[in-house]
Amino acid sequence: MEAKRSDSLVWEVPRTVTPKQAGQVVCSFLDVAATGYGKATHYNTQLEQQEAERSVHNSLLNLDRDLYTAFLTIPGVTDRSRQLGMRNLLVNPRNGHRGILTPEVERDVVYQVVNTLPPHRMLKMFDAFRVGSEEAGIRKANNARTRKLIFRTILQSRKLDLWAVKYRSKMCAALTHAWGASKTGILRSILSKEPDTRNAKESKILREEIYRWAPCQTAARLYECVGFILGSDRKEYPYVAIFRRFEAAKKDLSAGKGLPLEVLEGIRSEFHKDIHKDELLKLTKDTMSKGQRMNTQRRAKEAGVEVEMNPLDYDAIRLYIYAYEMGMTEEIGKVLVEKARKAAQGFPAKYNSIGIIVDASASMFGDDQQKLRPMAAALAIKDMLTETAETAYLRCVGGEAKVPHLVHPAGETDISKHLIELIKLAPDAIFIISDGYENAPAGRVGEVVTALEEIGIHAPIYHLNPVMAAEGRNSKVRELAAGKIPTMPVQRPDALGVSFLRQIVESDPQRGINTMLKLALKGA
Amino acid sequence: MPIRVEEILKNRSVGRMQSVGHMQVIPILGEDDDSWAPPDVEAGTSSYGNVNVRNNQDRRTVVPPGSGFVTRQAAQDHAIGDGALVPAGKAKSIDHARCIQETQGGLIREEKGIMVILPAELRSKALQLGNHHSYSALWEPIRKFNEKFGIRRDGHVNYFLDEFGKELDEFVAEFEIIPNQIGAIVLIGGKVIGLEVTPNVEYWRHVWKPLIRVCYGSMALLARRKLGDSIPATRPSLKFSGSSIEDLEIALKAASSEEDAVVASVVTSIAHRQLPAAEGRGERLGKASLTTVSSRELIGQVVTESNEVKYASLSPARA
Repeated sequence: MEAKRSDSLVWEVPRTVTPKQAGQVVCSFLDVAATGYGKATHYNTQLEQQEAERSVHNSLLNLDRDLYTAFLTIPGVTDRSRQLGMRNLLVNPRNGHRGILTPEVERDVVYQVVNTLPPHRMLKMFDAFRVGSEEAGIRKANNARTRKLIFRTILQSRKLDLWAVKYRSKMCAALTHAWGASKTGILRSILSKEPDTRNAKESKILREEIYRWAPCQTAARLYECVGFILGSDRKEYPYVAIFRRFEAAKKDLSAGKGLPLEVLEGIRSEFHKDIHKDELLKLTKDTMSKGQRMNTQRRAKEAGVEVEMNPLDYDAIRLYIYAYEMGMTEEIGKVLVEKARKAAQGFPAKYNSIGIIVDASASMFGDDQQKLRPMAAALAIKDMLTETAETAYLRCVGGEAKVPHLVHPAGETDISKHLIELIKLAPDAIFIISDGYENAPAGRVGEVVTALEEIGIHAPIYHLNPVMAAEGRNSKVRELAAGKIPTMPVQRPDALGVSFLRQIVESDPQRGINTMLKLALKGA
Repeated sequence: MPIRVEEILKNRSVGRMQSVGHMQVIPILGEDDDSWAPPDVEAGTSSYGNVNVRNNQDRRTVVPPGSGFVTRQAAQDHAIGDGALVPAGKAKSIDHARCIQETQGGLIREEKGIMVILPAELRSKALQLGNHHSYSALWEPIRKFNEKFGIRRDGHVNYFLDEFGKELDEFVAEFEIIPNQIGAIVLIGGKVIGLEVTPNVEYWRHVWKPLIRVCYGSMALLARRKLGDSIPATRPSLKFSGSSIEDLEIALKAASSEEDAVVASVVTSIAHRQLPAAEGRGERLGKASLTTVSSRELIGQVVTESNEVKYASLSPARA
């Protein structure tokens, strides 16, 4: 992404706010964008989380639209934040706004960000634009920009045929929203006709309404895809093999080999109720998505079907959550180390020695919606940090060894004694990975840090928090020792660098924000 | 024959105290008696003042005293004073229940997952009412309770729950269940205000959230309003005047020892307390016996079986 070639690429604090205020707005955004999932946590309901997120997004958007746009591309920003961001940018027009980005650059960023979303999230976002989604915290958006975005993203996709089969109803809803019901009906009717029976006017309509958005596609194939999506009457698909398999599977399930698992399951449940679900595993084991491969392991094992799963295909947190369910293996362990090393390469600091305290108390279990995610995130972050130093001293607070090689969250939170043990080892830095809820007793870590300062020990101590709590100050993450230890939100290990830069924003907003801007502009 | 607190604590041990703000919790640890299921019941009302609870599990259960049933249905929330012993697979009708949502009409269709435990002050009032048949008897106490918190002076417990939901949720996050925990001693402002013991870990995990969130959480909120950010004397601070990390280590160990001493002192101070049984109140289920007990400080109910206390739930007599 290139910024507008204007006088300079330096962002300046607007006159309407102080640098400190600007820093707070950006920091709040980073906290939310790096940890907020819009789901319930151990502490807050989904509605509370979403309201907190919206408020923080709006604050940064109001501060500076271009800063907001750029920061949506920073590594570590969640898909959910990107969804919210897209909606905000589409619903709120630029209205001649002049800033560090041009309208063209903003448009490119929007397209780029949308295309980084997994297809189901992208389509869910489009669907939310259509009706508004209370569950996702997204409100309606329907304007020319939104329509163009929907057409280009969907119709230009290289996986349009696969998406059509997997996400047919969502794609139909999105395209109908963009075309309108009446035009959609006309298109459906035209596409139901044999191609060589369409008259000149009908062909022109197809060109103007469909082909012009995706001239990169072959017209005949494109029309076949759209016809399938819209549910046209024509059921012959000379150009798209996957549609032929889809139709054939209705009569003979095995003819659907190669179709996605969920599609075949839909066909089985409607047309072949007598066939057991586990038969599908055999038909789809070679074409499953990475997520399906992981999620079906238990079922496949019980059915005696081998579904290959490559641990390298998954991020560290997901692998840990999988390991909690299915058990840790040597292979997964090796991949976790590999991923930690790779993530550590992007970390802005290297150490001779560090201390790491991992909070494994009961609250790190998370909520039913995000079971064990805080604990998995803590372990993944711990792994990455371990690779940033020659020597890493590890301490675990609480926890039970229910599953071999994995600590299960349990017990109260008593961090202080481990902190002192690590201080005695004099590492270059100490990282405390915790949700910030201390109770044995609350405030003890702060007391210890005060005492350390009195002694003259000013060891760099950082609190890394993988959970966003809506009741925190300015909807930030919960702080372990406010004013004593800096708290950084961390959604995943490779986003930790962003959290460190956040510290610069907090201490020197002008410099920190420009540093983050360079990161965004470089990486986008 | 009064029950003594030391009988409730017999064959049980205590864990390390957890302290956050004005509230402190001393975990009680013990062995499981798996013949009791958690109070995971369906509840509904068949008329105003009449609550039906249905235990679909394969074991008997005890529904805690002061349980409230707060529903999203367009129906009137209710609460019970005395708890109830419910056999496995059976239902029970409680005909001296109280309405806790004054201006809302409608009967609750049987529903799971709607149980709360009343704020301690209201729980004690509900218990004091005993078997007295008056579905509106809690309205005035609820009005007074709401008034203390500056919310609408109506007989609606849900107003309090809605207004302070976020704050109440914090208590759930702040206090963690530890392995083998089956109960707790709860302190507010350094004073014991609750004693809970349940038959097993599963039961405890089920009732902890409703207890800490609303029953005791309400008292902690009130304490915060009255006492501000002061820390109770039973939460020892770190007393450090040294000059080395070793000195700090010693100070930390001393603070920890002081906390252990506080725990021991708390247990000792309550162990001798006697809890006379209320006349004419109680019920039996096989060899188990549910009794209402009350002293100057605590009121609640106890389940005994074969001379052992299986369940106890005691909160302040005057909150």
